[in-house]
Parts: sequence; structure tokens; C-alpha cells
Amino acid sequence: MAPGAPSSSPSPVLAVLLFSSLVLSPAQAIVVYTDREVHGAVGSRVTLHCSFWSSEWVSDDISFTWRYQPEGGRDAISIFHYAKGQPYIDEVGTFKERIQWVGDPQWKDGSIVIHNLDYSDNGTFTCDVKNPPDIVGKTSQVTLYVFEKVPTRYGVVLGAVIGGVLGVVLLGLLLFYLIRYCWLRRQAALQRRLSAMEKGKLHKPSKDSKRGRQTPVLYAMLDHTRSTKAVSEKKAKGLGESRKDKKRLAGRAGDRGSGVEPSKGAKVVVIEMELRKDEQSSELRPAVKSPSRTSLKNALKNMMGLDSEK
Amino acid sequence: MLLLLLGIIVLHVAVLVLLFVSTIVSQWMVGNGHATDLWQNCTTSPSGNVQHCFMSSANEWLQSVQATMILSVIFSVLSLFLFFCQLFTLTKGGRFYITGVFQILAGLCVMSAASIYTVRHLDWHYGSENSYGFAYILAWVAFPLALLSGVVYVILRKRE
Repeated sequence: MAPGAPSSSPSPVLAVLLFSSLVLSPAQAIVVYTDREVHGAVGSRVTLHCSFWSSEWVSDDISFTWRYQPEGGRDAISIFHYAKGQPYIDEVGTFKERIQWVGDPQWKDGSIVIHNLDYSDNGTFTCDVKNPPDIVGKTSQVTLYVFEKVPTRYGVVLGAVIGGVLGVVLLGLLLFYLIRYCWLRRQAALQRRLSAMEKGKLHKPSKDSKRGRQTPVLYAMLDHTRSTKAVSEKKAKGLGESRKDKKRLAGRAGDRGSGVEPSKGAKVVVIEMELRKDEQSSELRPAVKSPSRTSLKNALKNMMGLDSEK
Repeated sequence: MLLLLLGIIVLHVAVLVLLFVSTIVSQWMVGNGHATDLWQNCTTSPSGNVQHCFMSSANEWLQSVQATMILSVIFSVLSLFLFFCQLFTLTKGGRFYITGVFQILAGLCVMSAASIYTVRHLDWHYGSENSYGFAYILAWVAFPLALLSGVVYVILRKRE
């Protein structure tokens, strides 16, 4: 911990106290809040927080008083007083020229900073606030401990380790999915281009066959009914579905590569793949055109050997 | 298949129970009336059944043991949750990678907790007459079991 940042007990506790006192105590009394314990390193500075709750508005006559009682000492001495908008600081005692006023009455804040801490500063500091006419109420005490090296507060390492590891794991998971997603997209694009290229080569000789033209169209229609459903489903299912598609696609590509004879079956498969490509590109733009028409057109275009690729 | 599934779940739950017990139970270190765990330091008075417990020290190493134990519990719970998720969403033939990775992480966490405790426990325990309690041993037992179930998850393929 940096020497300039002294540790203090958590402020949520104060908030809860404040809330409970607001709700539970209707009595008109001033309530002062400080930390219970403050730790500081030798030579560093420490902030002694003091705030209060009052049923009255903050008046101009508000006064803050800090008293100090050394460890083992009996008497408390006044070391700081704020009244009528003017802070009065100890100029003769042990805290001579070491106290700084950092509070603001408008914010109900009466904090002071003690600079250049020494072991002899160990002791209890009492904050007293008077907000006339609201003057009835208890004071609040904070104990200052000066260390050579401020010990780690309980839970700091615990929280840091847990938070750190969880954060790293989460980040790693995110990165993994991002990379996989990008990689799959690239693979799919490559596959599509490859299949389109091979198709162009395969189809030119068979464009005059009449039967060969008819069957694929039929298939295209059949396949399209499936694919329009798939488009809507795909968004919900996400990656897993598309991966499945791609696997199927890859499998088909392999099949076609091995099947040498230009049979009818091979052609059908090719058309189906082309449709799937169309379906994926139609995912990106809004469905203005009828998808069935475009896919049919594409199928026909491919049959006639027109290269639809840019 | 169902038997295998049941076996895996039982193994996972067993690991989880081990982790919970070893994290919570105050038996990491025992010896003449003392019993300490990661959280508190209890002394049973020799005369009666009065037990005094103090919060354990704020030693950095002890805190990291606490943190890694908590992390291992978190990872194991997460892994069980992910397993059930993947059981219903995974495609046929897929592997339970994420589940397995989290379970292995839990195993590694409990291992690091137990090893840090082994090496560093003298920083906050000054008595030499203490011996390791059963919670400490359970933590060491949980480590290979968690690793095993994690590996099983990774190897396993889903069937319908």
C-alpha cells in the first residue's frame, strides 16, 4: 500500500449506520461518524474522516472540534477547532504545523489530515460537532495506529486473487470464442469460394442437358423451404448450428471431389450448396426481395454457367 | 450410457462436497486442543467443552489459500452448471470442453491452495506439535478427483 493512502474502515458501514439512524431515531440529536480505526505508516499522512447527521440545517455557527488523547494518556487535548467559517489549528503542541483542514461544512464534512506521522501520534482522536441549535449528541472516536509498514488489510489479497483469476479466466474464454468465431467465418468464406470455383468448372459441359436443368430447380425449391426456416433458427442457435452446416458443406465438397463421373446426383449436390451460400448472404441484407426468387435465379444462372461471383 | 452419466455426476458432486468440506471445516491443523482452518483458530479448553475461536491472521499467504479454495469451489460449481447446460445444448458427438476446462481449473486451484498451505503454514502457526487435520487431507484428495473428472469431461463425447 502506498504511504500516501492510509487505510480506513469501510464506508458502507457508515452508510448503513446513517440510514438506520435516519429511519430509526426520530430524536433530535446530532450524530457524529468517524472511522473506528485508521492505520498509517511513519512519515506518511493520514486523513481522519468526520461526518455528522443533524436534524437541523447546517447553520453558520457550526463548529467542529478534534481532540487527541495519547495512547496511555489520561487527558484529551484540543488540537483543532473550526468555528464561524474559520479553522483554528494547534500551533504549540505535538501536532504543530502538521494538521490540515480538508472538511467542508456544507457537505457535513469535518475531516482533517495529519502529516508526517510519528510513533508518538498513536492514540485516540475525538470528533465533536455542534450545529446550533442542534447541540445534543455523542462524539465519535477514531484510533490511529502508526506502523513502520502498513499491514495488508484483511481481504485485500483474497479479493485480489479471486478477482484476478476470475477476470483472467473470463478474458481467456472471451478471447477463445472470438478467435474461433473469426476462424470459422474465414473457413466458411474460403470453402464457399472454393466450391463456387469448382462448380464453374463442372457445369459448363452439362448445360445443354434438359433433365439436368429441371431436377436441380425442384431441389432448389425443396431446399429453400428448409433454408428459410433455418435462417430464422440460425440466429437463435448461433454458432453451433452454423458449424454443423459448414461441416456438412465440407463433407459434400469432399464427396464431390471423389466422385469423378458427372452424374445427376453430383449436380444436385452442387446446387444445394449454392443455395446455402445464397441463404447466408441473404442473412445480411433485409428481406426485401423474395428470397425464393433469387435463389431460383441463382440456381438457373449456375446451370447456364454464368459466373455469379464478382 | 445412463450409468456413465450418473457416474460422472456422482464424481463431480463428490468433488464438490470434498471442496466444500475442506474449505469450511475447522480441521486443517489439529493438536492438543487446537483446531484451525482457513478462517478461524479455535481452542478447546482442557477442562470443559468451552471453545474459543479467533479469526485467523491476515497473513497474505493464508489469504491466497482462502482465495484459491473459494475459486476452486466456484469453478467446480460453474463446471457442474455448464455440464447440465451442455448436456442439453451440445450437438451429438461434441465434447464437454468448457465443463472439463473449468473442472481442471478447480483441481489446479485446490492443488495450489493445498501446496501453499503446506509450504507456508508455519508463517501463521507457531506451534510445532500440530499435525495436519482431515480437512487438509480432503483438499489433497479433491485435487486428483477434480482433475480426473475434468479429463473425463474432455474425453467424453455426447451421445443422444
